[in-house]
Amino acid sequence: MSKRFLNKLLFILPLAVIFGTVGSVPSQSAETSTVLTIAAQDIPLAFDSDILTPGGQQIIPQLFEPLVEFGYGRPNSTGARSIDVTKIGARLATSWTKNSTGTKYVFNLRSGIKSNFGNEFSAADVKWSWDKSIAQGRTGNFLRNISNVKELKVISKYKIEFTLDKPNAFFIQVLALNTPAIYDSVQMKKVATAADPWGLIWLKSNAAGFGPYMIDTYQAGTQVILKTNPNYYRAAPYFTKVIYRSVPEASNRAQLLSSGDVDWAEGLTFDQISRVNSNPKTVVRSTDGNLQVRLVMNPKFKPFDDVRVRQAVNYAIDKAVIGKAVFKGYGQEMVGPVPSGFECSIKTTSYKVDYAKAKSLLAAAGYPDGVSVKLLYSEYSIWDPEVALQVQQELRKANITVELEKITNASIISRSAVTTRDMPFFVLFEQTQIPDAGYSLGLTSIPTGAANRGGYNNPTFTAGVDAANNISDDSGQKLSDKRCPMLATLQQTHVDDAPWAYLWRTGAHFAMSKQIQGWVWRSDNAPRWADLKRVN
Amino acid sequence: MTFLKKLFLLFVKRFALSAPLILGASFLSFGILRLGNSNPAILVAGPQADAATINRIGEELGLTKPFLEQYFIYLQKLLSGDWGTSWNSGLPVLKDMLGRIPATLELLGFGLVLGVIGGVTLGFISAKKQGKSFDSISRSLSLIGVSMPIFWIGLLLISVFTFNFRIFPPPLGRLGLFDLAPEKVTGFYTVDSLIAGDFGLFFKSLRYMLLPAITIAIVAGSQILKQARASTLELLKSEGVRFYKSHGMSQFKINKMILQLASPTIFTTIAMTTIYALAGSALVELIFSWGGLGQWGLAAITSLDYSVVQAYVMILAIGSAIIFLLLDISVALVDKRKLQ
Repeated sequence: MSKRFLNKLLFILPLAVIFGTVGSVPSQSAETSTVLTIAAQDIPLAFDSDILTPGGQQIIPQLFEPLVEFGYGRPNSTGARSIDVTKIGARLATSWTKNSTGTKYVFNLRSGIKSNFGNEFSAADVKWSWDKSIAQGRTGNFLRNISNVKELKVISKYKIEFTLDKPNAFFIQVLALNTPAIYDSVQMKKVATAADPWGLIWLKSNAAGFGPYMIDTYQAGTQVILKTNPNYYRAAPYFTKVIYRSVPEASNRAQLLSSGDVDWAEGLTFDQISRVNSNPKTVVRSTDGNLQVRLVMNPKFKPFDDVRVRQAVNYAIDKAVIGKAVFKGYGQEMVGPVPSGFECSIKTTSYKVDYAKAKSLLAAAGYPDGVSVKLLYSEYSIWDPEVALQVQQELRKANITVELEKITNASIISRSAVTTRDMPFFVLFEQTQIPDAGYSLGLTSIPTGAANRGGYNNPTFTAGVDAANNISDDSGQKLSDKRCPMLATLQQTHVDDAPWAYLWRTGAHFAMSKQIQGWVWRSDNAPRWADLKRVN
Repeated sequence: MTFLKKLFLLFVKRFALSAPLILGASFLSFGILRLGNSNPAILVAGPQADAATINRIGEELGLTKPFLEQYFIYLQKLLSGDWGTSWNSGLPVLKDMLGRIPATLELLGFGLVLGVIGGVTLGFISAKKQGKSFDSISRSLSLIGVSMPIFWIGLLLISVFTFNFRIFPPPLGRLGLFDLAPEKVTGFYTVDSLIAGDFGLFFKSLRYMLLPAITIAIVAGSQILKQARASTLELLKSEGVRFYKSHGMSQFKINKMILQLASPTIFTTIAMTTIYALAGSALVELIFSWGGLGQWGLAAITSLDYSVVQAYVMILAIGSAIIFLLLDISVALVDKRKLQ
C-alpha cells in the first residue's frame, strides 16, 4: 500500500465517520411509523406495581389490565381529554353486584382472555395478585386498607367476591388503578421460589399480564422496548413497538423532541415546555392534573408545633411570584389541600399574602423578632430547588430566615416514610391517583395515610375523613350529596390547621410530536400508549 | 541487578502501596454512606411499610449490627468476590458492574487517546511558536477546556453540532433508537461489530462515540496541552538545548530529546488527567445517555443504593491505583534513573 494512499485513507476515514450523518434529519418510514419513540427520564427498576419507581409508573400501566376503568371527560380548550372519575366502565370485569350494606361485591370476569404467556385469565389471577400486594405491605396494601377490603374469595373461574369490613365510597375507583396489578398467576407461580414466593426477582426484568403491551427487551438503566401483546383481547394498538430510551438530561430530551428524533419527551422544565410549545412540529398538551407543590410543616417540631407559625408561613408567601418565577405561569395557585375539580373538592378560604399579618402571628407565637428555620429539599421534582430558593426569598420578607439544605431524593422519601417522618420543614409534591377529596385527604392527611409525610394528626379531622369515606350510597341519597358537605368542612379545617404551605398546582403537561394523537390524561400521569396513533 | 528485576521490584513496591489507598477508599465510602439520616431498610421495604417489616429488612441487610462489624463483613465478602446486591435492581453488583465497564472503557479510552494526541501535539507546537497566533489560539482553547465544567462543554457541543448542524448523531447512547447492538464478545461495540464483520455498525458506533469522546478529549487535552507547552518551553530555554543547537544537532533530534525529557512531567499530567476523566466521565455519560459505569454510579448515589455506590467508589479507587502504577512504570521506562 503506498504512503500516499495511506495518507488519503487517514484523512478520509475520520471525515466519513463524522460527516456520514450530516443533515440526517430523522424521517418516518413505513416500518418506523408504527414505532413510538420516547425520551425517558428514568428506566424502571422493576415491573412490580407495588414498587413504583419513576420509570415504572409509565411502563406498568401498559403491561397490565385493570378490572374496571374510568370514563372519559370532554376535551378542554386545548383539545386535551381527561378521565371522568364518576364514570366507571368495564375492563377485565364485565359487570358487578353488591349487597345492601355495600360490604360485598361480586365481579363477573371476562372469559377467554389470555396473557402474553398464553395462560387464560381467571378469578385466581385476581386473588393471587391481591394476595401478593397484601404480603408485600406496600402501595397495594395501602389501597386495600383505605378501601376497607377485608378478603377476596374465588367463587368460580370467572367470578370473584370482595368483602369489605366497612362500606367504602371509592372502592370501585381503586379497582381502576394499576395497583394491585392483575398478574398471570400461572406464569408467576412458575417463576416463584421458596425464597421468593411472589416472583419479585423475576419481576425485576419481566412481566406477565393481560395488558396491550409486553416486554420485548429490557436493559437496566438504558432502555425498555415493548411490543404488542398478541393475545390482547381489545383492539390491537396502533403502535406495534415502543422504544423507551433513557435520556437523563432534560435539555437533551427537549431538543430530541424538537428535532424530531423522538415522538415524546418526558420530564421537561417549564422553560423547555414553553419552547416545545412554540415549535410548529411539537405540542404540549395540558390539563389541570393532580400535582400539588407544597411545603410540609411537621407539627411535632418547633416552631411548627404552633399553628400560628404555620399560618404565618402561609401568609408570608406570594404564590403568584413562585408561579411566575418557577412555573413560568403554567398551573394555578392551590386553593386548599385537594385539587379543584376532584369529587367533593372546594375552594377554601385560603391565605392571601400579608407580611404584616405573618409578622403579627409570629409575635403572638413568641417570635417577635422573627424565626430561623431549615428547609429541606431534593431534586425529586425538577422544580424543587427553584421552589426552595423562591420560598427562602419570600419568607425573608416576614422575618423568617430560611437555611436551605439539599438532600438526596432517596433521603426525602425515606425520611418522610410512615415510620419516620422526621423532617420538620420540606418541599415535596403530592399526586392523588383517585380524583376524590375523601381519598385525597385519607392519603395525605391522616396518620395512616401513606403520603401524610409531615405527620399531621388531628383526631377530629381523622374521624371526619373516616366517616366521609366509610359510607355507602344505599340510603337512596346520592353519595356525593352525603359526602361533599362533610368533606368541605374537613378541607377548611385542614387549611385552618395549616400543616402545609399551599403553594402551586402545576398542571399536567405532556410534550409530544404533533403527529401523535389520542392522548388522554389519567390520574397516574402515565399516558396509555395503546390510546395513541400517528397522524401525518 | 538487572533492569527487569529493578522494574519488577518497583512494580511490587508500588502495588503494595496501592493497598492502603484502596482500603482507605473502601472505608470512607462505607462510612460516609452510613453518616446520613436515611434508613436504607425503608427504601427497600417501601415508605408505607410498618416498623416490623423495616426492622426485619434492616436485620437481613445487616444494618442493625455495629458499624465496624458491618464493615468487616463487607470487606470479607468483597475479597471473596461478593460485592453485594443492588437494592434497586436486585442484580448482583459485580455482574452488573462488569457488564457496564466496557461501555465506559471504550468511551474513556477513545476520549483520552484523542486528548493525549491533541494535547501533546498542540502543546509542543504551541511552545515552538511561542507568542505567535497559533500559540494564542491553542492557549485560549486550553483555557476554555480547563475552566469550563465538563457537562457544560458536552451540552454546548450537543446543542451546536448535533441539533444545529446535525453533524453528530443525537445523544441517545451508544447507538440509535432503531439500531441493534452487536453480539456481545468484548462489550466494546466497535470491536464487537468488527468481529461480527458489520462495518456499517462499526462506523455507526464510532459516530455515536465521537462527540462524547471529544468532550472528554477537550477537558483532558487542555490540561495536557498546558503542561506539554510549559515543559517544552522550559526545555527550549534550557542551556542543554541551546548547547546542542549551537553544536549543530538536527532539529528532529532536538525535538525528540525535548519530548523525551518532558515525558515524565507529561506522563504525570496524563495520569492525573485520566483519574479526573475517570470520575468526570460519569457526567459525560449522563449527558450522552451512555449507560456506562458512571451513569450507573450517579444513579446509585441519588437513590442511596449502598452496594452500588460502594462498588463504584471501589472501582474508581482500583482504577486510580492502576493508573498510578502504570505511571511509575512508564516513567521508569523513559527515565531509568528512577529505578535507582
